[in-house]
Amino acid sequence: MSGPATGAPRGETAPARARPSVLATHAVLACLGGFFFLGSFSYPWTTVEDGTVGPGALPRVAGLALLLIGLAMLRREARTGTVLEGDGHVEEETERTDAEHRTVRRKLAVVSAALVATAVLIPFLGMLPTLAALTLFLTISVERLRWPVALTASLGVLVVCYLLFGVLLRVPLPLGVFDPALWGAV
Amino acid sequence: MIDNLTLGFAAALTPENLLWCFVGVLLGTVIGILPGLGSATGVAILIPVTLTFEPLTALIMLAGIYHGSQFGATITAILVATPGEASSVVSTFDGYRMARAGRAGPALAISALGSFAAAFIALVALTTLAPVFADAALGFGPPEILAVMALGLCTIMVFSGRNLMMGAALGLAGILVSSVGVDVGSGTPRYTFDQVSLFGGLPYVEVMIGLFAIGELLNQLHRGMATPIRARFRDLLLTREDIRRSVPATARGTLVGFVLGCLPGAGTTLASFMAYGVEKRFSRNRDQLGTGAIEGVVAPDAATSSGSNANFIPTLVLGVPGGATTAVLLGAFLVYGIQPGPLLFEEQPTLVWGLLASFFIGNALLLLLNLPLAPVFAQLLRIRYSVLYPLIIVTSLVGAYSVKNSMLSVWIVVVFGFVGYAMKRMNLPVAPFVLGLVIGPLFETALVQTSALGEGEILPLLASSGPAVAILALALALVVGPAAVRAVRSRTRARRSPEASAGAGGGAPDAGAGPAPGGEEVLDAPRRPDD
Repeated sequence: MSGPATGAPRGETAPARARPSVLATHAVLACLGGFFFLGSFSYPWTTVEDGTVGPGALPRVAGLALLLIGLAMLRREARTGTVLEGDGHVEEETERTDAEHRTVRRKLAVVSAALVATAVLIPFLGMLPTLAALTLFLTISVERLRWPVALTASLGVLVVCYLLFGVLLRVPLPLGVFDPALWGAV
Repeated sequence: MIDNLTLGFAAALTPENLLWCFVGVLLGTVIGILPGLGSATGVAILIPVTLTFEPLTALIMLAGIYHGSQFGATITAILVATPGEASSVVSTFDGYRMARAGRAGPALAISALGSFAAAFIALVALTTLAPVFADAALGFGPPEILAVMALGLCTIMVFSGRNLMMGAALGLAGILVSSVGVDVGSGTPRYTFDQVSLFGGLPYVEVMIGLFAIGELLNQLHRGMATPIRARFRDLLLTREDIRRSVPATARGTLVGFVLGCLPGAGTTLASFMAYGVEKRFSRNRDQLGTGAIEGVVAPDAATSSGSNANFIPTLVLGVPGGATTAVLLGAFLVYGIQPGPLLFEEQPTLVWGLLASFFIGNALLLLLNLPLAPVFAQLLRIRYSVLYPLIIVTSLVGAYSVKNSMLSVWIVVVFGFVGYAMKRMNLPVAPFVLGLVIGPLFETALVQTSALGEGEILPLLASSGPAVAILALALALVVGPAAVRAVRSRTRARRSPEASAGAGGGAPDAGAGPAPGGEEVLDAPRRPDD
């Protein structure tokens, strides 16, 4: 059984120039290490009471190690642009047309925005109505499914989630404006 | 032992206990399938439901949920790359690839068979060796646990394949992210920015749902969405080759799972990751791992199954939970007025052996449920992704919320979903990050305890412990060993090659077969290490 070939064909030579996506990946890792390393100085290396390992020890050591490894990888990439397995290189699909690229990017942006909007709306509209609305939006606006299919999927989500999480598992899902206590108070 | 098992089966095989065992494994499978609703959450939520039951019946049902959820979690990990449990994250690496290649049926079937075989072997070992392990484990203190955690950290580097620095960097990133929250030793809040909701740290399950479920979903959208799989029924059956390749992987996974499952606190997640690491080292087909190799499915699942059964050794014998779910189960024991510990076997033999016997029955029921239903579950892949992905988003968000009934969980899923997508786009291996996230808190706990035991000194305590030294030597061998062997081989080859070229004039017989010498190797083409 042979694995599916991905990326450039074997035998392709390593690029001589540093790749921006790889540099960015290594820089982010180095910054993450630096953030935790510097932040660890807010916490003691050992505890005052008994001299045991304190809250600052692990993040300081691990943060410094990550910072140094990140910088070493940055240096290697900047100097040689060596291609390594899983090094942060972004492969661009060359088979797609510009129009297809735009469509995919738009869809990704809309779904990502819908995810964030869902998280924002749940406390106001309640968990299940928001998720049903999300399903309806994605199936109709993004996927262009027919109305009956989209409505069935959304209602199905609402009913199944209610039965499973609300009735069977008794998870206190947020009700938002549909909370009876809120209306009782009004 | 035979007398004890007879007593146990007599207690477990009553119609009432059989019924609740079946309900437990069925509910567990459903809970495992749902992303975010892991076995620990499922058991915790259902403890109040069992309060009116007899203690043995209640524990049989709760243990059934535990075992069932391990099976169920693998189903979604394989079919939609959405692990229902942390321990089934590894199943996505090769299981999902197999599913996309039209081999979802064999992946699910071999997972069920491997898990059953591993569970059966582990249970025989559990019932036979429990007293022996009790003696050995009683001598395992913080230094030995610290050494085990160091071994786990070394597997991070082994995991990263040929790019050791990136593997180490992502492992460290995982450890650092896991350090957010209240420190285990002193109770000091770290990196919380005075947000009380972050005091408990970044919840692991939610991070996993984000990285794997939402991250994979966005990646699928980017790649233009995977086409539905139209697998014929005969494609869903296991071949003789599948079984031949799975047997040694199952044996290795079972052994790794059992050994780690016996250790208090190690849990099944570490076992599944380590089993995958062992396959990467020792499997004949290790080059195919990550591309849909059957060994990459069966070994972690066998380790999870074996480990989840072995987890009951420290739980029942020592009263120390083996993992998160057994910690919840330990709470259930206490709710029923039962104190687990060395005396439990003597004082409540019917309960202990009845529970152990129910594990055999539960695993057999799971096999009967899952094996015939594997092709049925595989039909899920026929659903168009445009319909499936909104459902994955919904179950991920509502499942994540139900873990702690907190909106923070939803936000963590969304944020780590974007992180997971970015990692997939940039071909970064997710496994080292995840392992760092799992081992980080365990490592720090062992570090603090060892430090406390040694009054601030750690190394003398480690050096004075034979088992700790042996485990650390193993860790060192794991990391340095392969590089050392490669270096010796390449030196030998270099010494021979002038003679060979002078003698034959042709190429060396194994030219190109082995990797180039040196630490990290340059690839002639970037590959996806995991997905």
